[in-house]
Amino acid sequence: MLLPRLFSFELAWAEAAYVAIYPDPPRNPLSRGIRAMKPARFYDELIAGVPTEQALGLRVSLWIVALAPLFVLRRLCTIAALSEAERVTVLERLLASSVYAVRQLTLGFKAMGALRYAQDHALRAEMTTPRLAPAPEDSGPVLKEPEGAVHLRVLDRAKLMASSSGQTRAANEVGPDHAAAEGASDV
Amino acid sequence: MSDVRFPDDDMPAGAVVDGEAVTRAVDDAFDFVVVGSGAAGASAAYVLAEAGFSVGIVEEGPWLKTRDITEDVHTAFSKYTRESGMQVLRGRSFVPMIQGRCVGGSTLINSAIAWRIPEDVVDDWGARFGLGDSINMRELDPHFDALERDLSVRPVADDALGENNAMFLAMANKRGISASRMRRYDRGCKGSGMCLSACPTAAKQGMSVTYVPWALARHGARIFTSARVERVEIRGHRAVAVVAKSASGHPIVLRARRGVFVAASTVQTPNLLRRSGVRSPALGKHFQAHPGLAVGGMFKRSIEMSFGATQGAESIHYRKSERFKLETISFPPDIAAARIPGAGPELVERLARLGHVASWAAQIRARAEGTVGEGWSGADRVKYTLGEDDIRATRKAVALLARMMFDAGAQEVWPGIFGVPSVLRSVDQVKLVDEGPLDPRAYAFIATHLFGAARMGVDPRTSVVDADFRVHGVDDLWVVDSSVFPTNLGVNPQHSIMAMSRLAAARVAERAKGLRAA
Ligand SMILES: Cc1cc2nc3c(=O)[nH]c(=O)nc-3n(C[C@H](O)[C@H](O)[C@H](O)COP(=O)(O)OP(=O)(O)OC[C@H]3O[C@@H](n4cnc5c(N)ncnc54)[C@H](O)[C@@H]3O)c2cc1C
Ligand code: SF4
Repeated sequence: MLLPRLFSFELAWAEAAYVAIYPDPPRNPLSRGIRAMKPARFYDELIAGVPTEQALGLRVSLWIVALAPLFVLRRLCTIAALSEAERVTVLERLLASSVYAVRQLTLGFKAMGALRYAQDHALRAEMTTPRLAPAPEDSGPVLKEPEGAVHLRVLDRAKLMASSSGQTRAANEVGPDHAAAEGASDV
Repeated sequence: MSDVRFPDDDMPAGAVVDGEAVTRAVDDAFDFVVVGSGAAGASAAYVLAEAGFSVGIVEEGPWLKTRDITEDVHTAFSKYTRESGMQVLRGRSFVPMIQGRCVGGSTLINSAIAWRIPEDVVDDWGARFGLGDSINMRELDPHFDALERDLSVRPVADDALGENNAMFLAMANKRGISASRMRRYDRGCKGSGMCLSACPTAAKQGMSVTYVPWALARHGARIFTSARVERVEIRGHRAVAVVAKSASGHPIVLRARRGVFVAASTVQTPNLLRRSGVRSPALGKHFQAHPGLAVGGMFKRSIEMSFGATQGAESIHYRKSERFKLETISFPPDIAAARIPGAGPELVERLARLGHVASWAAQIRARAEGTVGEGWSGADRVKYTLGEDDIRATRKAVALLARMMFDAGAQEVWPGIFGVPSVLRSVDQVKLVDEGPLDPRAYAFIATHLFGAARMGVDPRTSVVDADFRVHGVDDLWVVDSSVFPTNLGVNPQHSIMAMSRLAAARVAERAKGLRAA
């Protein structure tokens, strides 16, 4: 990779933008936002680990997000200098930009953050567990189901592995299944 | 947990040469050398090894063993996909293109859907490309049968169906659209919905837990992992060796006494042939794709997309008439978060309710053609732009999925089309999708089903390989991945790729056996 690692001001931009996209409680019904997961460091490592062209794209995305207040709000500052609510406004405008490259690169930036945010096992479980919550257009707190009412089906690796003892067959054994392929036909 | 053994755990000594650990030049010889260990390469290698030939497989990527699989997408994609999952098709829009770069190739991270090549496609290949005598259902069916036996193809079981899939079937049924459970390579799917970041239980019968270990353990094949093939050495119109470089930087030369099978995939194969000196006017041309895009919906009730086969239900009702196939797809949070509209509180509010989200998709049987070449840094470059009629088909598919979601009681539907509200709140709004833009940049496609660019045909001026998979004008060099497919299938391609590859390998093995006997 030919590009230098992110400078400290770039790390600050990335941090500010990601904290706005995946905020901390109480602006987030999940138990934590992305801040605790050091998203800027993650982004830096991502850039260091991908081919040069992709690294360039990620870097450009960051600069677009960082300098967006100039052309979105006509304010002479970077994203890091805005309040969290203003950052969200700027990011939403970028995601809906009529300039294809701008909205695509911003979407890419958001997507990279998602990779980091959802890496946390407990948080994944929180996201995927159904809630007795009102729809997003309704306001009000998100209510967890009463104990025992929700059938938690997040990945329990040990359990999955234990129940996969059918897989313990030796590598050179072939299973007995003979499924005829008929394939659904067109109508 | 430690007493559970997976099929990829125990390989015979010396069967795996890890290119990251190679400390000096390697020179070896086999009857056949196979480039790539994905759907095509693993199938061919297994058939050749089973027929009693010595086989060396060369794979650019590493081997992710089942016991090392983690649930997050980032780990899988950053280490085991090409360009960390950030490859794109370039044209008027940038379409993400995902390919595995690991033992098993894309089968490590795919959804294991098995579809026999539709008969009308084979007929079309016969009529338009003169392949009828060589590629027909009579020739292919025994290979499909063998694959289905070996890889345990079966419909998704009740206990792995999940609500995302079940609801799709019910809604299709309600509208009179024929739909069915997916048939998949499945030996005891637990419905973890994790196919896209690799199966943690080896239930998914991908190549890294089936044909590759079987070829090694039962039939004495060897695999060189983390070793990129730079070229096939062609001497006097005959392929004689494969020249690779290990990840640790050492040359690996594998001499091929009887020939070389190239199965590096639609995108990498044409460039490898070019680097090897193959000069065909058709090389790199006629690239096609079967791009997909997803529609999300939020429900009041629980959907729990994280439980159920990742892709468990489908409909080919409109494959011929409208050129799209409908499927379910459960996205893990890492991918869903990028597709959910908004940023900040609005986004996380929806993320917190992911358990109430359903996700369905359409695969478009696109007519557009592109080209495969190399960029300034030697990286693969695919130029491709979807045509207006492809976008019309897309719009219809998205609108239909949105209507089906509202039929099912969705509170909001996310069509993912720029120029249409990102959140639709009533079925009346779906007409905005019907009238959506015809610009490909407005749609969030992803490409995983790829075809062409080393097309099969009888005329060397318009095709790269002949009807026996042999590169025109070069002996003992066969291409067996979907780069040889003359057209888009309109269905998921892995099964057809494997059947075609098996057919090629079986023919070559037969001939070689005849020669050996003589
Ligand atoms: C996310 C995803 C989901 C999918 N779901 C399905 C599905 O459910 N059903 C279906 O039918 N299809 C599915 N597909 C498509 C299917 O997986 C592919 O069409 C199929 O695997 C292609 O087979 P292949 O052998 O041509 O290529 P691959 O399986 O991609 O394998 C090619 C291999 O060659 C190696 N290689 C390339 N160049 C070199 C080189 N120079 N040297 C050494 N090795 C090299 C690569 O590293 C790779 O491992 C999916 C694909 C993806 C990405
Ligand atoms: S859905 Fe089934 S096949 Fe896919 S990863 Fe989970 S257990 Fe494996």
